[in-house]
Amino acid sequence: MTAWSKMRVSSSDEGFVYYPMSNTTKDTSLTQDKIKQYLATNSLVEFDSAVTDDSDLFKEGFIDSFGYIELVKFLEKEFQIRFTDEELVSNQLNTLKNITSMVHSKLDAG
Amino acid sequence: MPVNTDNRLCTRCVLPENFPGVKFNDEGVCNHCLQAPSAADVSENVARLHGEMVAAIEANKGGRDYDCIVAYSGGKDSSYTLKALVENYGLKCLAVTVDNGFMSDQARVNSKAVTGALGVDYQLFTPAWSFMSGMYKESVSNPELHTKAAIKRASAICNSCIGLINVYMIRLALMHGAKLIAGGYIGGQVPKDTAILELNLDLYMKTREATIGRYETSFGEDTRKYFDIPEGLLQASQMKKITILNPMLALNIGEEDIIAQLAPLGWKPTLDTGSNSSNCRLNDFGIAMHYNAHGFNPYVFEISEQVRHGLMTREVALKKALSIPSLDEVRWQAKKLEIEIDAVR
Repeated sequence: MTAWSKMRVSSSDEGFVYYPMSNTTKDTSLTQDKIKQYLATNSLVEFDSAVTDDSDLFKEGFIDSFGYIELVKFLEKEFQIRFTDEELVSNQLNTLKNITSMVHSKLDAG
Repeated sequence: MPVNTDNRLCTRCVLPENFPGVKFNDEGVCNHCLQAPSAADVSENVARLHGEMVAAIEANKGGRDYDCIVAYSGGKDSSYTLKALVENYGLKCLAVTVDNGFMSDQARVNSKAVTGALGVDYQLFTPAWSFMSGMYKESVSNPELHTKAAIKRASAICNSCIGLINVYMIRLALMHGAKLIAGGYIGGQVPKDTAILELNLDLYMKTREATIGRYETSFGEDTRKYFDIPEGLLQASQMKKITILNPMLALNIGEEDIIAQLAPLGWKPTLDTGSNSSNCRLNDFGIAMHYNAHGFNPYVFEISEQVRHGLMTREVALKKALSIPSLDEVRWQAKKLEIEIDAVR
């Protein structure tokens, strides 16, 4: 049976989204979907041919400094991970692909 | 002036169907209302945020002239924020108002009265009009200036102003060694769960560049004076982080209660700032421009959030959300900014 938990509550503007607890955090596509959903809801990113998984979300005008802080807060809460200061000031969280990859490396390490 | 809208509004809050990301169910209830936490969960969340905020305050107070720089507009929310920080949490605050050239006279009186009653140091900063007017003109005419999601929370002119104010508060925090910055933002103006934000200054500096680049192209050579943090100031401060507080998110108090609690401090409602501001006479112009460009009131998300949190009735919310100044009503602001308003139509 799938367990549903409030620990999986999203901080997105869409309100509270419940996710199944079991075996989800290491599922690549589900992780990317959650990040995509956050970016679509909070940063109005519409991924298509113009904005791809490799698009720099800062340069494209989707995320600014405070948006980045909120994104990091979401990722740390959603996936129960912590980024180091070095990781945050690197350019590793600038595209959907990089964000997903970074989250996965954290989950794998944890 | 109330507008007639063809857009369907959520039957529980007042979000319109043309608001980004909104979907309705068969009963006309929006996804935000359907996914909203229960009243018990809201209370639990507010209590948790309050606990976290108190812990952050205790960890960052003492040892300096000012514990906290407060972005203080003289409006009701920032006045209540200042009152709470001083009276409830014992913070030594420096209240700072940025006069954008459209500050209401009553807001000036209120600022003096409230800071006087609370025994708080008060600073008024008036950026050069030549820069501010140019910034507002660009804000109205350049849709690529701010992040795309910014339209959900505020008008373009408000977003520019808020950006300038945020940077000025950070500069002052660095100058005074204050570890806290606070503002009077309420639910819907900033994302949930941002009652406390830790600002890593190295990170902030690094992620600023794309935004400043856009601003510099639009606002001209003085942009960095108002939107950048000098590297020398950061180094001299020896500070690595600043904690940003949005106390209103951890207090969950409605407009009527706020006004009642501010009255003993000498705060009085303004009569010349429209229905969605209590300090700025440019606000209505921003609303009119935003409605003209996007078809919804820039305050509608925060208004809806107040309804969802039980802090405002839907009837009051409806009145506020549909109160859109006509372009004729904001002609004087356009004239002062030398904007050809008929070209906007």
